[in-house]
Amino acid sequence: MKLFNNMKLFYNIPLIAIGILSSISLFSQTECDLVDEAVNQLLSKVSDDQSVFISDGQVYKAFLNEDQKAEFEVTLFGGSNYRIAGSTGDNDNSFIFEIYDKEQPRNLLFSNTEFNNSPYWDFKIENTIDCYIVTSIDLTKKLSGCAVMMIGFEN
Amino acid sequence: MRSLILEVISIISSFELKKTGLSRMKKHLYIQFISLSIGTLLFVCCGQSETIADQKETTTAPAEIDSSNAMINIGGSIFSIPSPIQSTMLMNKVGAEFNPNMLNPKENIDNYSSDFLKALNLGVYGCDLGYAAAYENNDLSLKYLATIRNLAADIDLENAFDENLIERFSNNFSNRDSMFVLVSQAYKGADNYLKENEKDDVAALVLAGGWIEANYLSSVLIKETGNKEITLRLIEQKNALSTLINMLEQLGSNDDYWDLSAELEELYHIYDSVEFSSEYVPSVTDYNNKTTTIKSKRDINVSDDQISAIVEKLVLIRNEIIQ
Repeated sequence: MKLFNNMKLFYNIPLIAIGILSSISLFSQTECDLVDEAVNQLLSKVSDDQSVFISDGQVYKAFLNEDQKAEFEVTLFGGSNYRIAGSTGDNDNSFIFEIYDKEQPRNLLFSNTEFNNSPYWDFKIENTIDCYIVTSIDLTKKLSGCAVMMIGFEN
Repeated sequence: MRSLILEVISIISSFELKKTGLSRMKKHLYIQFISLSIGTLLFVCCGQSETIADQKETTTAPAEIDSSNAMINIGGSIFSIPSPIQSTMLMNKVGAEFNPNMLNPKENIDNYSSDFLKALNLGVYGCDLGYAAAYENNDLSLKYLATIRNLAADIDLENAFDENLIERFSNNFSNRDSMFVLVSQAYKGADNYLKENEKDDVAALVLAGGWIEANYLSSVLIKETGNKEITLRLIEQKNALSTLINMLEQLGSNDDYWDLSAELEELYHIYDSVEFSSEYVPSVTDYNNKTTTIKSKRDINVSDDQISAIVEKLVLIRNEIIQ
C-alpha cells in the first residue's frame, strides 16, 4: 500500500512541477498587469500646463532581478515633448531610469535618481537625438519585480 | 513553506476515496487534479509572502542575495519604434494638404490571407487611421477603425479593438487628442496582449507596418511638396529603421520576415550613406515642473539624390506589403 502511494506521488510530480511553473508565470503576469495600469495612469496624468501625452503604442516590460538592467534604444524627435513613466508596482519609487546619448563615451542626459526616483518625467527635445534608456530597480527599496515603462508624446 | 506544500500534496495523494463509486482511473485523475490545484494555489500565496520577506531582508543582509539568475524579459528583447501617429500629426502641423488617395484602400483587406500580411497591414491601417484622425476626417476615421477591427479579429486581437472602442471614438469626434489617446491605447493593448502571449513576432509586424506606412506617407508628401520638416523627419528615422531590422531578425519566424528584413536592409544601406554628426550639450532641468530640456545638437548632411533614393525605396516596400 505504501509502495502504491509512493508511486502515485511519483506520477503526480510532473503535474505538480507544471503547477508550480504555471504559478510562477501567473504570479509574474498578475504582478505585471497591475503595474501596467499604474504606469498608464502616470502617463495620462495631465500636467499643470494641461499637456496631454499620447502613448507611442508600446509597453516596455521586463522582469528584473537585483543585478539586472534593461536597455533599449529610442529616437526622440526635435521640437517634441515626451513623458517617460515607469514603475515596479509599489508606490515606493523603486523604478530607476536613465537616458544616455550615443556618443563615445556616453553622456548621461537624465537620471530620475537625482529626483527621488520620480516615477515620471517630462522632456523637451530641442534637436532629434538617438539615445539609450536604461532601467533598473532601486535595490535599497526592492530586490526584484516587474518593471514597466511607457513613452508618451505631446500633441 | 515549500516543504509544507509538499507535505500537503503528499497527504492528498495518499488519500483514497473509498466510499465513492469512481473507477481507479477516475480516482487517480481526481487526486492529480486536486493536488495540482492546491499546489498551484499554495505556491502563489507563498510566492507573495516570500517576496515581501525578501524585501525586508534587503537592508540587513544584502550579501546573501543570489545574483545568478538569468535575465528574464517578459515579451523578449525590448525594441522601441516611433509612433506613426506622431508622424501624421507632424504632417498636419506643417500644413500638408489632406490626401486620402495616399492611404491603403480599405477594400485591400480581402487580399490579406496570411497572418503575416494581416499583422503587417494592421499596422498600416493603424497609421492611416491616425492620418485621418489628424485631419479630423471623422467619417474616414470610423471606416478605417471598422476595417482595423475586422483585421484584428482575424489574428485574435478583437479585445483590443472592440465595439466599445468604436463607440468611445465616435463620442470624441470633437476632441482630437482624445481620439489619438483611444487609438494609441488600443494599439498599446494589442502590443501588450501579443507580447504576453509570446506572439512577439506578430507584435513586431504591427509595429513594422505602422512605421513603413508613416514613412511612405512622408515620402509621398516629400515628392509632392518637398516639405523640409517632413524630409528631416524622414531622414531622422535611421536609428528606428536599424531597430526595426533587428527586431524582425530576432523575432521573425519564417521566410516572409527575412524577405521584409532584407528589403529594409537595402533601405538602411541608403541611410548609411547619409552623414550624421552630433554634439553633447548638458541638459537643463526645471525641477518644479518635472521637465528636462535635452539640448544636444545634431547635424545631417544629405543630398537630394540620397533623399530621392530613400523615398523611392520606401514607396516600393510599402506598395509590396499592401498588395
